[in-house]
Amino acid sequence: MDSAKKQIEELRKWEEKILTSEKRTLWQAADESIESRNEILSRRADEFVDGVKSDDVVDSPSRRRFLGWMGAATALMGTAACKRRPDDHLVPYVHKPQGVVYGVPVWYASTASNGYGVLVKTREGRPIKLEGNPDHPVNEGGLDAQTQAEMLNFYNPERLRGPVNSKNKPATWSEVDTFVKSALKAARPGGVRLLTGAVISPTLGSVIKKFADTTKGKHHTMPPLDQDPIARAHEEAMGVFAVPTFRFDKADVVVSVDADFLGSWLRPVEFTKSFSKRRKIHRGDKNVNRLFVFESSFTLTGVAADHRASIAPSHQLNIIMGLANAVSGFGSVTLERAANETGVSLKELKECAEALVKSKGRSIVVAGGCGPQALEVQLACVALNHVLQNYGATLDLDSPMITGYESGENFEPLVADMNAGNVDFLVIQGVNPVYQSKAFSEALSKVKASVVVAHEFNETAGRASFAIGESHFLESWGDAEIRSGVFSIQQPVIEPLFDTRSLGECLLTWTTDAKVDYRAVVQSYWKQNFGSAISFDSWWADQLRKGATTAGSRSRKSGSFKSANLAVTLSAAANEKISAPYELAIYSSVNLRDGAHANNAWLQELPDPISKVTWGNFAAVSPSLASRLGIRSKNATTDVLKLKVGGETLVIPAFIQPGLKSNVVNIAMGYGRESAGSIGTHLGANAASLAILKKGFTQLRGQAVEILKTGESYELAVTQKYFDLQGRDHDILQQLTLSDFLKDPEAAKKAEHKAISLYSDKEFVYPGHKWGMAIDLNSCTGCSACVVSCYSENNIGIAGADQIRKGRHMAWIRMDLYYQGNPDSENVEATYEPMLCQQCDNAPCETVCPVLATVHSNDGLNDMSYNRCVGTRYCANNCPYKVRRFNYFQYTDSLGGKIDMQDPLPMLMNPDVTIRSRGVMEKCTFCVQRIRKTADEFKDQGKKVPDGALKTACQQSCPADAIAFGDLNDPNSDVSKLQALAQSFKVLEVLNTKPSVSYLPRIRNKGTA
Amino acid sequence: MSAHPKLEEPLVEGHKDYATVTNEVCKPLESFPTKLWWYAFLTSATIMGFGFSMIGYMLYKGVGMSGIRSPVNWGMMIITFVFWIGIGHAGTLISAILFLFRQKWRTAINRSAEAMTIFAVMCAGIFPLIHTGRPWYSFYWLFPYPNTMGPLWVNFRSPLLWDVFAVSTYFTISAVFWYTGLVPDLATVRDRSKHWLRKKIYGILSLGWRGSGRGWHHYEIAYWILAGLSTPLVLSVHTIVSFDFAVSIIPGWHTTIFPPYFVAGAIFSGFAMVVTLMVIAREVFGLKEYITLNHLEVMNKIILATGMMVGLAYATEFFIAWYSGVPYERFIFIQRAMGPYAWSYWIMVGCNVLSPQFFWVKKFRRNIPLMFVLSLFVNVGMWFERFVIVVTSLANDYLPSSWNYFRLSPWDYGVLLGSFGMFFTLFLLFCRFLPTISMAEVKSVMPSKEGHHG
Repeated sequence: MDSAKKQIEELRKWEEKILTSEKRTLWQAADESIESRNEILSRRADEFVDGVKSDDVVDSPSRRRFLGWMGAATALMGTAACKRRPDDHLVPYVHKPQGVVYGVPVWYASTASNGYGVLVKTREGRPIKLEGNPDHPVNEGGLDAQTQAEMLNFYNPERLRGPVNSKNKPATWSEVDTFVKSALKAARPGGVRLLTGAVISPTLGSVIKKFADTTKGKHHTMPPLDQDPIARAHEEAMGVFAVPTFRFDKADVVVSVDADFLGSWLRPVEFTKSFSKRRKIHRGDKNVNRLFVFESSFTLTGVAADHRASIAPSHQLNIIMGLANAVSGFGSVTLERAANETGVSLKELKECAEALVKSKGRSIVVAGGCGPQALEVQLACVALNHVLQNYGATLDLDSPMITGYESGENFEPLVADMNAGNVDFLVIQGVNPVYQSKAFSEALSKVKASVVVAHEFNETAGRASFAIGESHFLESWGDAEIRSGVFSIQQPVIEPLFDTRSLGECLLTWTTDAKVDYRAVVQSYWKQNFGSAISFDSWWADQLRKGATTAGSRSRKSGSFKSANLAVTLSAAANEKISAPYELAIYSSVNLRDGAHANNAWLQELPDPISKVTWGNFAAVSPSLASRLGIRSKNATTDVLKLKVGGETLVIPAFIQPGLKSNVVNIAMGYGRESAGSIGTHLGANAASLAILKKGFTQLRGQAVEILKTGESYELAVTQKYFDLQGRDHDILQQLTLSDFLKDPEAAKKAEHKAISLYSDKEFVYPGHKWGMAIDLNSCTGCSACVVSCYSENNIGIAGADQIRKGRHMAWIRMDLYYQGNPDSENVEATYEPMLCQQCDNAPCETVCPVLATVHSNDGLNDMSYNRCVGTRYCANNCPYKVRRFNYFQYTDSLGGKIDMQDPLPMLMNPDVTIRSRGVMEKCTFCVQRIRKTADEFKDQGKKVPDGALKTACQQSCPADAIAFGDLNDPNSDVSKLQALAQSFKVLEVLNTKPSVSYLPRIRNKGTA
Repeated sequence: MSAHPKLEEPLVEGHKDYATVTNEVCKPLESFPTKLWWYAFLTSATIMGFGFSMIGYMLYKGVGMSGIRSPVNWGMMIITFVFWIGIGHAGTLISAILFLFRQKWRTAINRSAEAMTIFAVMCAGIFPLIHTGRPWYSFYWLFPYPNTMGPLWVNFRSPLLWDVFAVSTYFTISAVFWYTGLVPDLATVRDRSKHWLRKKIYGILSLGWRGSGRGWHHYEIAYWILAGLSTPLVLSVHTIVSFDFAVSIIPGWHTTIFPPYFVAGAIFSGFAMVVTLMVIAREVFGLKEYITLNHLEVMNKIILATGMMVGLAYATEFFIAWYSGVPYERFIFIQRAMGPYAWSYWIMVGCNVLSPQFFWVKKFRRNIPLMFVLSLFVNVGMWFERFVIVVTSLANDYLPSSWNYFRLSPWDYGVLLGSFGMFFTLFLLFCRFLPTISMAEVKSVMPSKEGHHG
């Protein structure tokens, strides 16, 4: 080494010598001969420097510099994505309202128009979500799909924005008021009529009374169809015109004959709340109730039943009379005869009768459905409940359900008066009689002047002189008495969006000249009736804060059973021949009920809980009837039928529904609207046209129907096509009978091989919270309130019927329904299984996303970052639960392609939840926005989120309290305890996805003997 | 290159000399195209234009124009992607593996087979892109590049990402390999060109090829290296494509048989497509003496062999579905054969397993009309194979509540048709502007006049 160095050194010296000599004779290159010595030296000096040569000595860029620039350029390419955002201004409050902070919701307690207590969430002054008020004694925090959907009704761009004339052209208030006042003046005494729906507001009731008094007019009500026969039966048999309060929470045995009390009969939220309290076997209550259902439709109550038998509508009376006879010898219809005539197995009926006898005073028998003998059925029901000593125990006539129509006269006299020309001026609010009643529609042309107060320009509005935009309950004052003695205040949470009035305001404007302050009217009513003068203001504030009070019960006369001749008349009625070869059954569907909300896209998009049909109705026939008549159905494309009742015909697509009596055709009400805005018009067929009037009652069931095929076919928009578990019960949906369960809670589990995981459990350790859910299938009724609540909370898009036909539905939580038993049999059983993202620890979706758009959070959530998603849909394919929803189009641009996203619809959106664009995958997030908000609040206090402080939207809305949600890291949390139960199972556990959602099996109480 | 396999028949017929070969191969390049070519070209270009306008509309409206739905979230795009990638396999197999195995008969068909590969991969490449919901992001978010979104990378666990790498690598190597092989021939075309522009273009394309001994030496080494690089790709690309399915947990997808099964199927369909194209090309461009019956027969043998492999795979799937005892797996396979999509399953079996059985008979192997029809059958069958795999498994997986029936939309058919339009347009342009037969390589396997072996 040294010698080499020496040599180089010598060479250098030698070179130096040559170069420095003045006279050069030797050169290495031609250039050197002319180069100056210094030039050569500096060049040489640069030639063999150690390390990197600095760039400034060379003019052209080096390779390194070049690569450096290239890298920088590539990195800068990213800035191309930094596109200018559209100009948008954040304007601070000039005078900041007290208690309002940007981004922090303000909650108000109020009352929905149907009387349920609600909490309204407002953000920056606009209501965005309704939740049931947990302090309200009737709905106790639960809500139904309709009330949840009120949020969309409120912001519906097609609401009436003020007064309009009969052509739906805007009119002015002075025009309308002058017209009304002159009409009132011109009317003969008794010529002014007011037709409303149920009036449960005491203040409005007093205003109506005053209006009727000053105008010498009359108030008529159109009662909800089921209530009328019940109240009249109680008047006849008990001496009280009222519908009792049903205390399902006190009943060990419930028998329902065509009364879908969990889905659409009277007050399903209230009933679901109290009924489900007796189904909490997974919370240790072994004394669960037992539900017998005899029905001519397939309803939610039928799904919840422990024993379900399908009957024809003409069998209603026989069933109740048979039971009454077996229980106490009432009447002359023996159980054997009832079994023979109805086709229900005697064993089933006997079991039912025995169960009733065993639990006298702890049972309820309800009947409904507006059958051919509506009054007789209700009378028999009263008698049966009476002999079972249920009045005063499970049925409360002392503080009855306020049905809200007792105050007014009935509907039929009004039609008669209209026809007789006795009606000069008619005000209609809350009902849509032109759609519901042909007789009314014809009589209306004999009325000279009429005004309709409505939210939308409906069929009746089109026939009136003027239609008045009605204020929504979120923007007007009011109150409600939903049960005798249970009061709540309806307070507005926003100024009226449009130039609208409530009915009370209208009536007061027309009868007084002063400017109406309806708030003062409500307050003064309460001051007179309840508040003491000194403390009224604080009392009032307290009412507003709580939302409901049970103070100040009104005394009512109590009824007593009048048995005279009842057994004889009812036995005679049971002998009447009323059955028909084919019987019609018109039912009110869980989504639309009477059709008032037909223009609500959420409710149209919500699948009918039984058939899973959206955006329209159908004629449901049993498989055996379908095969007998040659009705075909494949992939939801079915034959179109023509149904004839008397002279009326109805063209409607068929639907093959297991579990119906083979001579019954079922049709849902509320469809076939002629004027229900862009969403609801011309969807399905109007079943009300096949209703008939019998003995003063509207008959919906049991009329003879002729079934013809039109030869056409129609594709229904369904969200579920297969209802058979394919023997996968153990993996998907576990259920067992009560007696099996009591012997062994794990009876539904197979003791087969246990799944072995190649992954270590350590992979799934969550340091803080670990969110999880438990769903009690024994409580869930399938009412779908959670589905609509989820739409509202999470800004879910509406796909529309055509998209649903292609299998593109956006709901984040869906009600899977599975049948058990022979599909051709009339008595199949069914079970619901709510299905939502299972937030798997070992999520199959996460590994396959190429762009990491769906990843796991450290609190156990399967997060979805919409902005990163490119829409390969691999995650949706690999999800065994099929809960991922893809935006095939820009669904959030419109409501099902029918109403564009125009003002005021954008105000509906929850600002905490991203609105998804097309091409993006979405799914249930466990309401991550709620989780983050609550967790942050408690983090600020240095605490963990306590159990129960956080509720998901679905859980909050559930009237059956079937959903538990919380921290699985906390062994004492509600959800942890439920998940730890031996009987709890996870769906498709065999796949080792390790879901965070567990299910508690459905348990059928077939008797413990 | 020295060992000459003893073939019963010469690889090039008609006792040609080198000049004739050059003249004949260059003829389509140097004369005004025939009417037939124009008709074919205009038809394919129109179909391609139609397909692309369909794609344009889909991009404008949304991927929902396709028939995809829940739970069948993959449809035409993925089916056809796998189909075209499969087609692309024959080219590389012929050019690389057969080259390494010194199968001299490949020389007449390797150029067009490779071209076919590249065009097929180009067709395939469109589909994953238009398949995504937001293609304007997916074309670069799927690549790992330094970005301004924080340390946000791609998911290296996702088979779709492996796909991106596999397909882009495959395309790059195939294109380079093809182009390298083209250089000496491009130089020949350049040397024969009379028009200055033509001279210039082919001059640039031929990269200054002079045909020197040193040039040939480098060329052959490069060709060997590229052949070596391409060889594993023949196996890897479709293996990775099959991972898209095999790595998932869907019954009927989650199987270990997929990689070999897919590769066999790909070679099967690729050779069928080569036969289809060669039968047309030798008729239209008068190349019967280069692409001889012997060539076609050899390819038919491969079709028979790979067809049997595919048939074995179908049988194995069924056996394992039964043997595994997994109810979901069993259900899917019963559904495939007897469920709502049974028609597609039996088209697949008929085309892929039964139709190649004709090739046991030598007479049929050498029957041009029959092999043309059968090759079309095989291609139809292989498209349906992917249809069966993609659709049936997704449509009826775990939860019966989510099952649905899948239908293709008109847009799906339009895009499929458009991809064929694109494929044939590119192929016709190739036939018009590039030598369809590797002159240099063909000459090397011709018996020279002097009696030497090349």
